[in-house]
Amino acid sequence: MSASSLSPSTFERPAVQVPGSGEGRNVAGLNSAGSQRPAHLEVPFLGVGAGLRVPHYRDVLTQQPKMGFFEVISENFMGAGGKPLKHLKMFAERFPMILHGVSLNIGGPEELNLEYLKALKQLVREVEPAWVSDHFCWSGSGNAHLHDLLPLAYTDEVVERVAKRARIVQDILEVPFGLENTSSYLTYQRSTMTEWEFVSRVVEEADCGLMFDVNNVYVSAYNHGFDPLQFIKSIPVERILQIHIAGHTNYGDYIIDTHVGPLSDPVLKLYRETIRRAGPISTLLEWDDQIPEFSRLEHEVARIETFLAQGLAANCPPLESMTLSVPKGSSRQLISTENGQESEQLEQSTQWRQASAQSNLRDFGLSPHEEREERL
Amino acid sequence: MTEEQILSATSDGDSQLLAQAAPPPTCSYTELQLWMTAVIRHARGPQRNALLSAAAAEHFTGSPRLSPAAQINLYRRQFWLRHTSSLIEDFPGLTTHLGQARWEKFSELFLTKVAPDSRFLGSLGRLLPEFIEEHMQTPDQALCVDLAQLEWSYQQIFDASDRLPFDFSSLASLREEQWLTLKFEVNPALRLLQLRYPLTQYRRALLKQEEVAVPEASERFVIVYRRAERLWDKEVSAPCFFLLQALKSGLNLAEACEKVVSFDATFEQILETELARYFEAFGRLEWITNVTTNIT
Repeated sequence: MSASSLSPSTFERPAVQVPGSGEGRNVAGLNSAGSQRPAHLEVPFLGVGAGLRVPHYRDVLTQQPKMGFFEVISENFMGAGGKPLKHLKMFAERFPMILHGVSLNIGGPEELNLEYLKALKQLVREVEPAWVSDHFCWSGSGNAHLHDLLPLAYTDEVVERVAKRARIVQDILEVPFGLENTSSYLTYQRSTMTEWEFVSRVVEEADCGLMFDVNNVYVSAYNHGFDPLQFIKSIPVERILQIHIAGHTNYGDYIIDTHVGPLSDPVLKLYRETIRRAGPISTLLEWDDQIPEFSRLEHEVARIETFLAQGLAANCPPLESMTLSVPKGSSRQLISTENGQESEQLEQSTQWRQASAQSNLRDFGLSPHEEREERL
Repeated sequence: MTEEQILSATSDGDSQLLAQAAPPPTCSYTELQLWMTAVIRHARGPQRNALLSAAAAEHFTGSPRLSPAAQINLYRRQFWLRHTSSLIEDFPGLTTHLGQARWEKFSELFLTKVAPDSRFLGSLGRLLPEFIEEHMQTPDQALCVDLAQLEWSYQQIFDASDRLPFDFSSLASLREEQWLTLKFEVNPALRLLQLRYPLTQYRRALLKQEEVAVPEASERFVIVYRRAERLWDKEVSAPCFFLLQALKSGLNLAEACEKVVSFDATFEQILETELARYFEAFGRLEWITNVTTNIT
């Protein structure tokens, strides 16, 4: 199957497990144990899409690109209305639209904010996404919102906290709800399990979906020194609602999930392996910094479609191993950091840049104009 | 607390307090999260303080290439970059007016003293005008407050709800005394600003990086609004401004006119001659979205 032949209608979820690979190739939401996707997590396969960003609005409207779907940051549209919501509804009438949040704070010290959920549900009613997602993270405590996706401690206590809240969110939203594994730069002394064990336990106990970010697996594996394949092999693939894939920036001692630039080969290989195991899963390219021309974005989406097709092919070999190599000399950066010297490179990770103050949205006609007419 | 005291609170001396406040390894996760929040909001990195580094090591593992303190410091740096970037995006005129050095000092003061209390990063700037009023003690403080209010108004009307403009032709048959009983709903995507400085042109010049003199104090009445999917600002006269303000507060036209005249008796003559022109403009500029009446 060629990449260009891919379209949402091309894929029907096969009803049976396809034999032939050493570990058993899984499709149709069947995991290696053969369990079926839960009925309430049945979602359409939308193909490959991209995060909808303001610099591409005109291209999307005028070119009617063959994108499987688009995704937006929920918080950018959870106000009273205005231009952002008007634009979103216009796009949602033309393309499948998914809502992805960054502020749920599901692992935070405080209980869920019902006002926030009420506003999110209102947006869900307006946009009618096939599913909604947020992150395995916390993002503030007390009266301070840090506007970041802070990593969680992987403990029984936090499994219980997050699973209980995820159930509530899913019940309130009344659409399939998934949580995304985040990129992380910190690990806790108190953690008693791996990230993949934590993720699996929460989605099972909450009976919710998984937004699986392949790039985040790679970033965290590099930062913390675990095997990314172990992560992919261990998650309940039948609960994956959607896959995220993005670029990152390697600073030697650590990688930041910057969502910038083309996809790296290792991440694409991990993606292909995920598809090989999970079957056709709607996949979204996130490119949030140094946003390119729309044609460049389409080119990257086509690359993903190629790897998607390869992963779905019956003869796709399993990915046996992946080595995460650290550039030579990177420890010098650690020394300078330990000496308290701030790096001149100020990076900024994840969707918060995209969500920040609706910055991109405001480029879409914010500059104020003066009324030049008679004085009133 | 003075500006100097707050700035000194971000120094190494305060890092000592933060280190001393570190919870023990056996603390609850909630306690740890509260402490992490304080560390991340801190203006200086934990590596600069040995006690703080030691406290970080009790809670974070570090990695083969990053110490525990360096791990939490990555999140701290992201916090400061993200929030200062957000403020610069929302207040480009103010930041240009202040210049790099003053802006950095002031934004650090603001973010140190004011916790971002909304889940929406875009709400961060709503507290800035009031903060300038309370904490900036420079000759241009009033100008900075006004400029911050002006720029925040642009953000507010960008996000304000969308309403269709009222069709004034439907009122064509009303008699004058009937007009006086009408109540006019002002467009939610409109803000009224009574400024002490003429700032709209000054701001535009700043954003274009043009050479421009700082304006002298001179009261201005400015309407900031959204129309045809674009943002606009317009200076109006005092009676026009007060009339719109009174209508927005829910008064009917007769009551609103009385309110305007209560500010200045000379406005009565102006209203008599200009009222029809005002309403023609209100309709054309889409400032009114609905009209209610008790006429049966």
